[in-house]
Amino acid sequence: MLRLAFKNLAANAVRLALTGLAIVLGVGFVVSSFVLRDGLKDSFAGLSQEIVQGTDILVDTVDDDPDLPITDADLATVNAIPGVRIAEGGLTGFENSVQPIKTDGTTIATNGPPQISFAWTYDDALNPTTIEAGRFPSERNEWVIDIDAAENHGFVVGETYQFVTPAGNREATLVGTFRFGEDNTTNGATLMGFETETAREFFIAEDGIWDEISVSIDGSVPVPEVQEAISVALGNEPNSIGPDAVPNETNRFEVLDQAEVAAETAASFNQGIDFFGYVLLAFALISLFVSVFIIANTFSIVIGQRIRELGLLRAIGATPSQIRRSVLIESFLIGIIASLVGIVAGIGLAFGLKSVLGAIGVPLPDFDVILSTTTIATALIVGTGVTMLSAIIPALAASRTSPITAISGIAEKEEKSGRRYIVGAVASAAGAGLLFLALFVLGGTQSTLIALGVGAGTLFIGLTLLSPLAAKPLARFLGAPLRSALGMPGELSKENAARNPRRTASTAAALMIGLSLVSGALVLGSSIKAEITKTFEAGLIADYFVNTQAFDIPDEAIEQIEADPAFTAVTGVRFWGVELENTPVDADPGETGTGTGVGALDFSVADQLFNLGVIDGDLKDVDNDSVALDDDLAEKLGLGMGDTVQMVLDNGEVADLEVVALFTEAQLLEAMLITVDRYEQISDQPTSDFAAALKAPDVTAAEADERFAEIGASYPNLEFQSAAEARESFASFVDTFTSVLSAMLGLAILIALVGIANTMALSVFERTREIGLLRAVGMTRRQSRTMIRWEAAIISAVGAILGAAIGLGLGILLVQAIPDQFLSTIAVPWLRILVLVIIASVAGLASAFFPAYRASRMNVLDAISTM
Amino acid sequence: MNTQTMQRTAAPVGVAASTTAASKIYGSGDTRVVALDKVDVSFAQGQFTAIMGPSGSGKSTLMHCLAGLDRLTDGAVRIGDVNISELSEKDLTLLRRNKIGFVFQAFNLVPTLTAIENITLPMDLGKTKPDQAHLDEVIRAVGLADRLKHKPNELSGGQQQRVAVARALGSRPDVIFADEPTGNLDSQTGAEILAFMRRAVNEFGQTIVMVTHDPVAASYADRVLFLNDGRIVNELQNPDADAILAALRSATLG
Repeated sequence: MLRLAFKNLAANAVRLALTGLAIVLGVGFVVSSFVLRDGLKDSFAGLSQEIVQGTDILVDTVDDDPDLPITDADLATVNAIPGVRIAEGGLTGFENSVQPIKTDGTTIATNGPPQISFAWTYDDALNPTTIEAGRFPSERNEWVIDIDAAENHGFVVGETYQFVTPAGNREATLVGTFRFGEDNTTNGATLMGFETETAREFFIAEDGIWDEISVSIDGSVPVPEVQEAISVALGNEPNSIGPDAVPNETNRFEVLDQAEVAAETAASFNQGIDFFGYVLLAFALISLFVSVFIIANTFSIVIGQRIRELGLLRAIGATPSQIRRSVLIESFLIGIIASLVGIVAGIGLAFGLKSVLGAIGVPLPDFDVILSTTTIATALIVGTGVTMLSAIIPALAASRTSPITAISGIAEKEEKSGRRYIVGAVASAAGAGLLFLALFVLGGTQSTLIALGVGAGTLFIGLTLLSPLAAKPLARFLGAPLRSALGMPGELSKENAARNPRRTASTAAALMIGLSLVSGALVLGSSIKAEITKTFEAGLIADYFVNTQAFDIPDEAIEQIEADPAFTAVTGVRFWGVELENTPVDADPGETGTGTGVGALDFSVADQLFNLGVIDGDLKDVDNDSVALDDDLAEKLGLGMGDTVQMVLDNGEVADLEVVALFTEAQLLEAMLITVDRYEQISDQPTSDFAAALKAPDVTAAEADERFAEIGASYPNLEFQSAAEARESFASFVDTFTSVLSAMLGLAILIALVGIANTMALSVFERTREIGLLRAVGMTRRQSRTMIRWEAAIISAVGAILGAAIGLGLGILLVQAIPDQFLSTIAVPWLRILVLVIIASVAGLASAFFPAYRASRMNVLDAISTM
Repeated sequence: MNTQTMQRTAAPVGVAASTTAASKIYGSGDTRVVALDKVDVSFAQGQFTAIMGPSGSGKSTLMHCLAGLDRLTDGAVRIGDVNISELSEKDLTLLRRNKIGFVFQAFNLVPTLTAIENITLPMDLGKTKPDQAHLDEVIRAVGLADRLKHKPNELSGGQQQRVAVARALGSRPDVIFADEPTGNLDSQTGAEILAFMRRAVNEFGQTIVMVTHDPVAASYADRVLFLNDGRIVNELQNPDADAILAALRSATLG
């Protein structure tokens, strides 16, 4: 049987290449997600190692708790420990928070790698950089930048530059350039070092406070002993060093050695990379799932065509299990070969993905190809497993071949469809039930995700089993106009697409799944867009919206707008998260407190700028001892007007705030609103997330724009948008997200098209004599190509329409499942879905290029004499 | 259609198809096979010709080359005045559609089309309107008026073959080529088909060239040609089955 399986492989090379292609693509996507993940991890591990080079011990607060900062006194304590050569405090700004203004008046774009600013480390051993030109920053308002960023963005040593910082517009003189590590491997990031007090000012860091302490030892005492001594001297309990130490009230500090710091740094990078890897893997698994349908379909068609040969084998004494085994062995061999090709393809795809992401503004750093044993093993197991799984049903069908088919060449009556439809209906119902459960009942993310995945998979399998019911009437309906448009070839396309509903349905299934995912995403995206539009139109009274591409908006910029007589009402809006001591009314027993998002703004102008739908009280009444609440949050907490919100402050104290206003429209701001003064007790970041402004009635739009341009000269990273522009820019963000999501899901559509080409090639082969007859009685080559192509187009359209319908349902279900406070609008992008269906059908038409060509080149004489 | 009809009335004994020094050679060297060896033959309009010969005699090759399904190695084939050896693939297809009818041994019909759609298929492919009066006459003659909406798998083998003959007749081709048209039928059904073909020649003045190995089938023809080793070795006019059998025996032996 093994030899037979090999012979079959060799005899049907083209057919198998087509079957394998779906596997190659599916496995390729899986491998590319692994290669990308491992390569990026390796690349960032190198970076982590370079960062900590020279640092023997690092002291950090547990979980970077801002309530318990590292002070000058702590630094002095560490410096006094025997064995410590030198200890230096470190300060790092938030990513992109400090931006130098280039000679052309702009700042470095923020959609790329981050811009990292830090206080200069003066000890050569502790500093992972080397000065290349000029000198290090030693005086107030001096800074240095890494050599690549200096060159790429045109910063020249000796010049003075303006900065946009959280503190406002500042200036500093560039006194040198430096190299990070050996080759300035910053992975594209811009690194900027500032003189210590300058950094403190720019970052708005408190005096005498540090983010961390780096220690270099003199070698007289072993590292672990120095570590322990530092830990105890800082007030930790004995033996609580290293990453496994349990943080508690007493153990405020983490004291790590070099390897531990490198590992911790790498782990923080890896978290992001892992997430990215999982997202890619999820899309790859969708592709694989779609592949299963294509491979199963191909196998069953091929088996159908080999029925005579299988009958002969049975006639000469092969047992059903031998037949079954030969088909499974064949699928095993295809799986192995395709998986191996898929591994190679996956490496290519990883780099393709990198350039695609780069093109849409998500540049990835360079990485080496790391093909781990796990990757290879996973690829082989998944690829081969999926292929063999797909072959099980066709193999069972093959084993049921009766010997008489060797003579008659006709397969026995197809098994009754009844059972198929019952199984299909049950699976669809179960899948839909699981989805419902996941979306509306289950709370935990883990179980929700599993239920979503399994539910969607089961639903798709069920719908695929049921889809032949729809395939025939739909194919006839869609093909109806073809007769008058294309004549007889069009009529034949229609009839061919309708003649074997099961094959048409199976072929269309993959496209159906792909389309349903994409159109579901489109429904979600356009609903979010509609929600944004609604929120802005209903909630924003302000004429202008000030946004930033960087980190936050400094108060200084907002004050400048306020000071301008062209604007009558202006406020910055700050967002943060807080813990409340109030317990939700529906909380589980034993659970106390809750968390919420909080917003802070100037309440004297709030009602001139935002329509929050106040239903009780007045926003103007909110002061440092009171709060405005969204009615949903109030209900959740069981609070009403006059009740008390207990908010936990940064220093651990609890502030009692009286509810003095209730509102309904929280979308634009937050569910809980407090004063800016109160906000400063919960966050150490005194900057705004956005600002809103109302222009004076007699000021024209052009004049307002002029004012903004003037203010913007000092803050080039701020965007001054009209309300409509702001709405558009939020909406276009959703569009970008939807497009990326659709593109990733589109991989499944690509595989589906391979499947259609595959079926068409097999159908052409199967209908050799019929096509020969048509050619003999006068069908031209062009007409035969038309016939095949349009059949593929009809099959694709069947899949696309079914998929779009399912996707609409799933999308609406998903939107319904999202709580109304986030998403209450359902918007169906009919036009985009229609365009998608048309594109998919045209792509199906194009995918049949090769089968159509083969049909047209068929030798008529050979075709009609084939028996 | 009209021109054809006029030509037919103007030249009642014209030549529907002919070959000049038709040669067909397969392979080369040791594997060289001469399937047709400089065959000169012509088929008169309105005549029913049978081509007979043992397996490998070249009878099928001759028919395929005449019908434009295969090309000669050397020599010429004419359908009417047209030298089809010089035609492009596209023109050849149009010639098959408009001037030639086919009846094969099996698999004559497109399974997805109804009987009437199969009959009008060549005209539909050319988007030409069938001559409805002629079509009605053909349909009446084949006796399938009540089965026209049926798909091939709902018809018996004999009915299917009658649809095939009706299709060949429907577009009034210059010549119909039939390749063992009764090979898959029982003798009674076969006889019906042959009688019908005979009537087509008598009533519509149709030209038919039929390849067969069955002397009874050949006896329906006006003229029987005998091929052996790629050459025409004998010819009989209006023979009966016994005469054909005798000639066949001598042709095979000689």
